[in-house]
Amino acid sequence: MGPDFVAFETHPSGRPHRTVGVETNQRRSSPPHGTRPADDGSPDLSELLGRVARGDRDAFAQVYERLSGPVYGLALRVVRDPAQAEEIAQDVLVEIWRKASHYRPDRGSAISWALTVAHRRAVDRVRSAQADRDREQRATAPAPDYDQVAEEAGTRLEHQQVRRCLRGLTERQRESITLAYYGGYTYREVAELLGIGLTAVKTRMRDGLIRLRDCLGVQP
Amino acid sequence: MSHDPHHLAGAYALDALTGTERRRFERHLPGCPTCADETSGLRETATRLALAAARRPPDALRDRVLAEITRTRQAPPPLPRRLPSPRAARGLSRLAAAACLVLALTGGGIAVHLHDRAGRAQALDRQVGVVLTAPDAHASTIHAQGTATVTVVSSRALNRAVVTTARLRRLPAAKTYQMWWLGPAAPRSAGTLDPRGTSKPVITTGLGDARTFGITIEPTGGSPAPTGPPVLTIPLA
Repeated sequence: MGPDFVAFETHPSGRPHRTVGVETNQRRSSPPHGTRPADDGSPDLSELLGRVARGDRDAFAQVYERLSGPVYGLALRVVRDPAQAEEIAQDVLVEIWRKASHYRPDRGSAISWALTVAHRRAVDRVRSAQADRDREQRATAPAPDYDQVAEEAGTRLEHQQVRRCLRGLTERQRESITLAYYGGYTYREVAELLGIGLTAVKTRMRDGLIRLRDCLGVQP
Repeated sequence: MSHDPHHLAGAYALDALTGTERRRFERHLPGCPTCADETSGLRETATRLALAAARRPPDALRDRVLAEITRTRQAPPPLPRRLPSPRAARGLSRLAAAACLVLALTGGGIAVHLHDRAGRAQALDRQVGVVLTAPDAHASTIHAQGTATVTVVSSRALNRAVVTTARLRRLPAAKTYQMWWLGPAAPRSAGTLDPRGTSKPVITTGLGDARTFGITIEPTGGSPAPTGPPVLTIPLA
């Protein structure tokens, strides 16, 4: 605490002293889901990627355990075809091995970096495929029944929380976000599908994500 | 057509841009801390949509992937690009920050291009423009109260700063936000802000040798000295 703050500290107040630094520390103390070390003391994903970048295959096996479910599931959600989803997941996981040295912790969480690679790969696949006619159906089709696929409890919780927060959006916001993210549409295509203007669709995506971010308690 | 990058943060985070649009947006990010922070938060949010879709892959995938990496050479780390001279870099980042702020100030109603100085100047109050384009202008943006953003562009040479606030909490009646110049001497008032939490750009003078800019909550009309802890502080260049 520098001398600049002394003047404030001399004024009694019931509220905790809030500064930018304190807020930043609070953010850092709660890393985004999927990156925090497990209870058994295993290293976090960011650290594992650092080891993978130096050619550590054991570290990569641990990265595989953490990422294969989200990468495969996301690909499946976008392309809706198990064989293609598996192919994409394989490409993406090998890509993570190959490009682990490109991960920059100051640019976001490791899980976000990895799943961005996965999402872009899946989206490229559906955009290049002549599957346009099916995409809207895919995006709006009900999600798989998670009670039937004995998934880990963590995934079920995550799924429920995201579903609850999606319900808190306006219908237009929810449609715009799910068509884009799970359907792989560009915002121009979403605007066309929903019969709304480009500015409106951009605004709905941004406002919807902001609302979702706040509902999920995501910290940048 | 409007290229206002601020409105594209959501579409970008959802990978809903074409390749060209994505690259254009990514070129904009380094000069715009506000957009970079927002984009990062929205990207992490999109990641939650991905995690919610997690499914156990077929067991055979593991063997194939672990076999393939033994045959796959790893890419070397990317090396930093050759940087322009420090002087040029400072000028560029100042211009980019100013352009970014201008975009924020105009609320996206006007498409302002980074290189369109004339358009930018017209879109702004002249005095604000003078501060933003001062040779020693320095921009800082910080976040507080969750989603609030405060940007200060200060110029020691002009002894003034331009302040914008967005999404600070709306204050109850009889309260206002007050700005302060802090350190090395006692806090000096830099004027009050809209108690609704979002204000048009404000010009404030008397920067002097202050080291930090701060905002407190005070009774309407302001106080001669801060009566509570700062809502936020921003170190000055």
